Amino acid sequence: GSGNDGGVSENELLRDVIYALQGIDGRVVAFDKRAQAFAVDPRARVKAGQANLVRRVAELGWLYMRVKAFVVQASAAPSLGLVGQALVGALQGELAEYFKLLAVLEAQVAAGPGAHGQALTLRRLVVWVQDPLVRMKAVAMVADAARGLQGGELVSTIHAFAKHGDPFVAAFVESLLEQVCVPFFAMTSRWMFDGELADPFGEFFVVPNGAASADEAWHGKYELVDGLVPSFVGPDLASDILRIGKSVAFLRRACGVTDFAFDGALVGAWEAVTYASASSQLAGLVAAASDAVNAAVRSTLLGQFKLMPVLDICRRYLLLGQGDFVGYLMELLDDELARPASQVFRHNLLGILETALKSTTPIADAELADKLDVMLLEASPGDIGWDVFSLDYVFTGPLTTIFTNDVRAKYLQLFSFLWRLKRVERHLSSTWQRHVNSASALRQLPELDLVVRKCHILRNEMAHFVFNLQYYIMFEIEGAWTELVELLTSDRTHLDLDAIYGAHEAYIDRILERVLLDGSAEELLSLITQIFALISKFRTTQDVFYDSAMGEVARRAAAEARAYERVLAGEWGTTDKESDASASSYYQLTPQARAQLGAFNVKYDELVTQLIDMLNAQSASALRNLSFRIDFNEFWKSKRSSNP
Amino acid sequence: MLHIGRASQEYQLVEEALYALMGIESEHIRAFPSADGLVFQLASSADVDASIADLLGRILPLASAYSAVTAFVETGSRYEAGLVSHALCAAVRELLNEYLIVVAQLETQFGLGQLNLQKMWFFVQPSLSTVTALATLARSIRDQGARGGSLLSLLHEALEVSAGDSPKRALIEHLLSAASVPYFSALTAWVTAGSVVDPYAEFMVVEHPDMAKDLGLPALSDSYWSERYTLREAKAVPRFLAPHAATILTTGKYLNVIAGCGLPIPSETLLPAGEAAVAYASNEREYAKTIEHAHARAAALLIDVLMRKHALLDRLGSIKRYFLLSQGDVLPHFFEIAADELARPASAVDIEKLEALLELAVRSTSARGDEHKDELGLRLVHTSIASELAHINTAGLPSGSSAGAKAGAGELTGFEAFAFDFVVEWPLNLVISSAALTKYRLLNRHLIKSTRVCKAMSAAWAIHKLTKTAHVQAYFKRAYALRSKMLHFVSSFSNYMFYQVLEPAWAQLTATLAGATSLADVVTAHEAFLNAALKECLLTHPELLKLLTKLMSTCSIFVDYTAHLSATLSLDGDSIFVIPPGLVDSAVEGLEEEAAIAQALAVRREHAAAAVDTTATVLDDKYHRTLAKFEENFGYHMRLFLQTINLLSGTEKHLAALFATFDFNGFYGDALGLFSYA
Repeated sequence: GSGNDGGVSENELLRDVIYALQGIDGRVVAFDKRAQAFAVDPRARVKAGQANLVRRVAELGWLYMRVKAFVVQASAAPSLGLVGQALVGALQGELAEYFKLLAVLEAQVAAGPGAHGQALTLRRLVVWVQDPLVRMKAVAMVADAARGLQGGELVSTIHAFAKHGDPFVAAFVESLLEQVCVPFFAMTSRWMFDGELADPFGEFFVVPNGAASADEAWHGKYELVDGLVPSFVGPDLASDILRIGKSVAFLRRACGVTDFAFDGALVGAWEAVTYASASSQLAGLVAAASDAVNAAVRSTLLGQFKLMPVLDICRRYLLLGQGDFVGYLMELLDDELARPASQVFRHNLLGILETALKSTTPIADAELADKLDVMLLEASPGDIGWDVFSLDYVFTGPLTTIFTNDVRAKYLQLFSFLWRLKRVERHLSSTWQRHVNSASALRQLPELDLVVRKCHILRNEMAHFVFNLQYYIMFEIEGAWTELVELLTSDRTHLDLDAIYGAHEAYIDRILERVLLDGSAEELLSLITQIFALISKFRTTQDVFYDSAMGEVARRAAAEARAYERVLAGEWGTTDKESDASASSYYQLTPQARAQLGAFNVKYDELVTQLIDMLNAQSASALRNLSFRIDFNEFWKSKRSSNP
Repeated sequence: MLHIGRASQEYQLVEEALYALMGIESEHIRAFPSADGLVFQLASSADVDASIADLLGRILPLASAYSAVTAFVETGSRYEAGLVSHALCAAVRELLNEYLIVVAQLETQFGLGQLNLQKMWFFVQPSLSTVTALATLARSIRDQGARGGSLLSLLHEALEVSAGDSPKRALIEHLLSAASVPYFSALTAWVTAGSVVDPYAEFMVVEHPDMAKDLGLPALSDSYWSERYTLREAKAVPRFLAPHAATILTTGKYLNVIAGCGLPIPSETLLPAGEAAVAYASNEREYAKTIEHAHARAAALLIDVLMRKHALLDRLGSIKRYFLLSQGDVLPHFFEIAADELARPASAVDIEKLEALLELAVRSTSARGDEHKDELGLRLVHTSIASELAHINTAGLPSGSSAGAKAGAGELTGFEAFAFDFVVEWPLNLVISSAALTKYRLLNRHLIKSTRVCKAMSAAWAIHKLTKTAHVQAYFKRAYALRSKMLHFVSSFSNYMFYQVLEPAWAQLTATLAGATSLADVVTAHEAFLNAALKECLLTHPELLKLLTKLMSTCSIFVDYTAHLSATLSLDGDSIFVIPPGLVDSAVEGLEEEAAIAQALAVRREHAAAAVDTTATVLDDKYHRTLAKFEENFGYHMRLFLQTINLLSGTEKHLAALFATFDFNGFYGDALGLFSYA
């Protein structure tokens, strides 16, 4: 050491500096709160160079104080969390290392100067503290940034510090991450392999949604918190992890599959994952776990819970794909549903449904067939049975995850539209029957030829429309169905429950959209509804007209017969009073019907032209196809251009 | 300090100098802040012996240099300075620690009373050179604001200029190899996985993440290739990597294409066996070899994806089938069923309907077996071929603006505007880009046009054929001759395009592609094919294209005229070439069918004879004048066309072949007197 000229000796200073390095004030070196630094007491007789050197070295003490303060504060915080605890533990380990160094230094100071000629001096101390200084700077930096953070967010914050080109700093931050990530990986594996959250402090990026109902076991119960996803995991992997845990929970709880377990090697590999190996292994392990659980979910749904047959039943019955059944059911229901809605009873209808099921193409799986159900919609005043009748299906167990209430509502909506279309079709065929049955009789009323012919043409036009609309809808349903089947039965392991649900939802949404029920084409839908209504009205009017005409035919025949009788009786074969009275109603009715039918014709033309225009203006090519279909020979187009 | 003795002065100043060498200010040796750090100087108030001051004056610059380097390490270690700077500073810090040990050793000497300024000067010599070299580097780094790649360039330059000074060279080499570690690990990640790991924007490849999605959109994907990853400005590329920059860029891009196809990248196979990373080496050839290896491997992987997984050749075959009309039956069938729609002005054509008809045409012809038929679409191009040519401006293609800029008078019909379209998905659109498709469409329309004229000429021939039976051939003889010249012209030109241009070029393309080793090869070969096809089909020579268009339109007007003429040569509005419909009806009702037709024909002959008698004299004069005009017009343009071809054929081989096709029997050559000079 330097010669002592009555001032503070170097050894004394050294002792004070070692104190300062532990954040303790010494005799001449003390912490100056104002300057936030250790300084030599200006009154002490210390040479300027020495004082400056002391200040320099004591910077390490100041850094130590910062870290210490963080550790104390964080340990006391009740919301520290598991990741925070790990961080505090790691920092305490750092400080322990630091104290070990100080102990060594102190021993050298205590040994006093000149013991070996290699005693500690202030300048030597500078050399000694270079590395601890860099390290403590990094620790302090992390501690400052970590204040108040928790869980995934904390991990991400520390991870940001790892992006340093200095191998020393990078290695230090990585060793810190190594420890900090341990609880995080533990939570993740618990979630992925058991579908359980072991997260007392809300640090994990998957959180339960307390508000979700039991029905939403899959869809709303767990959510991802973006801010808690560690940056080295990233949003894509995080959502995979979320889904894996959900799938496991779904399998175990909703499906009651008790024997599902991940491959032992996978679990083992996962348990060995550390921060260092995460970047190379995490994606692969998550993908492997994902594939395994997806395959299990899919095979459970498709196998044990018969998803495909159920979907098929929905298509064939709820979407009226099974032609013979629908026809027969309608026939059976004809009388029952003609009653006011309030007089229609579900148990009667269930019986009819059963009859219809029995006498048409059977459903292979009787157990599934039993779940077909009848539902009566809420009746509005004036509704009859037809308006409130709906087929339904009772979904149970995990299938409710696919067929959520939303999805079921969509099926009901589709059923009600398709059912109405079928009814309109039936109306048209009944008018045709009427027409054919009375054709020969009506020849006796040549004055009606024109009207009858007009009726016939209008009916044909309507039938063309209904037929093509139906063809279009069936074509769209079949197209969507083929795609769905292809997707669900392809052996792609990526197909998770969300994707299965999504595929089915997309299927039903696509049909809704194509059938104009998705709310995006209300004007079109209202036009079609008006056309339906017109067809029904047309049928009633034609019935009245035919009734009256047939009455007239009968009246004439009777009158003739009576006249003939009179002739036979030797009287004049003229008409009698009685038949004249009913004839007057016929003569009154005929022009009325004619006018009405004419009005229908005009209205129908107007509606269809409007519909075609609107369809042509649509951007969806499927709808434009519908317009080609309805107007295949440009009949409507020429009609429109001839009278603009 | 003169009051104390020289020895005491020196003793005290040695002690203070030891502080200064650690960057600490003391009583007499004061520190003054400067741009680099602290500058240490003997305080002017300290009156010291001149020789001591002088000696101290030599040592103190080391203290200033140390302070400058410390300041440099301080700022250079901050996060924003970047990984290269961090790594460099870490290496420098190591050196500074060694320096501090030297100072501590000096102190020990001092404690033993064995140190004076002279000795000190002697002992700090090695440190002096190191630390001052570091300070010089630090200053130029700071002055140039060098970071990342430019920092490495700067170190590399320093290395080159110190080749003779071996300790300094060793020092800088040590720094360079330490500083380049993060850069090379980013490089390794890029050339083995195609990923950009670059938190501080230092790496030579810049990723533009906003271009990441929608790989399927054709509009995006062309630019995706060129814009998703780009090289940073030249300054930011380390000098020693600059020669490999393009190779490095394409290597990672290839890998990204593979990843974009959803395929895994076999990262471990990209580096030569036994190497774990691309690492800096003073011998450039070492890492150059590694990079080349990765590039070749990535190129081979991508070629495999393109050729095998995405069957590029197959797809090109499909495109050729439709665009270059090598599948004979789709287009005629389509034109037949869509004739009404296509005859309208292009803007009035209902595209949806055409699409439906095209689908029908594809499904009802031999093309239904083509697995790429669903990618086929159509498009109406509302500008003429010439003006569209003016729009594409490709290297190797002379701009056709002089001829094409003038928009064709009147609107195009559906037939003229029609071209096929094709959905090319990622990654094939790297080869079949939208620019390439535009060229295909041009060729498509060009070929359709000449095929249609060809067909119309055949129709004219059919009309003429009918006139032979109608006792009017004498009257039509002149027209026959012209028609046969025209037919020769259009069919020769068609044959030339199909069999002398497209087929050989196609054969060459497929041969080249089979041997291609990189995407660049494939793209170049494909572009060369298209450019050659455009050029040899005369689309790129404005003058020739103009003449060709003229000749074609003369031919089609002539066909129209022939049809019109035949209609004029009729009686009571019924063409002589058409059996009057009433006749057939009445005939069929009464007689056997054959007999009916025989009778119909007989009647028709009578009608025809009468027609000629009555109209020939009226038309004679006008007819001959019109015909003469056609002959003159066609002859004039044909001569001009052939002259131009002949003129250019000296340098353009394909034109010589074209000339030979037209003039297989020397007819035109004689007529033009072209060879009389020879």
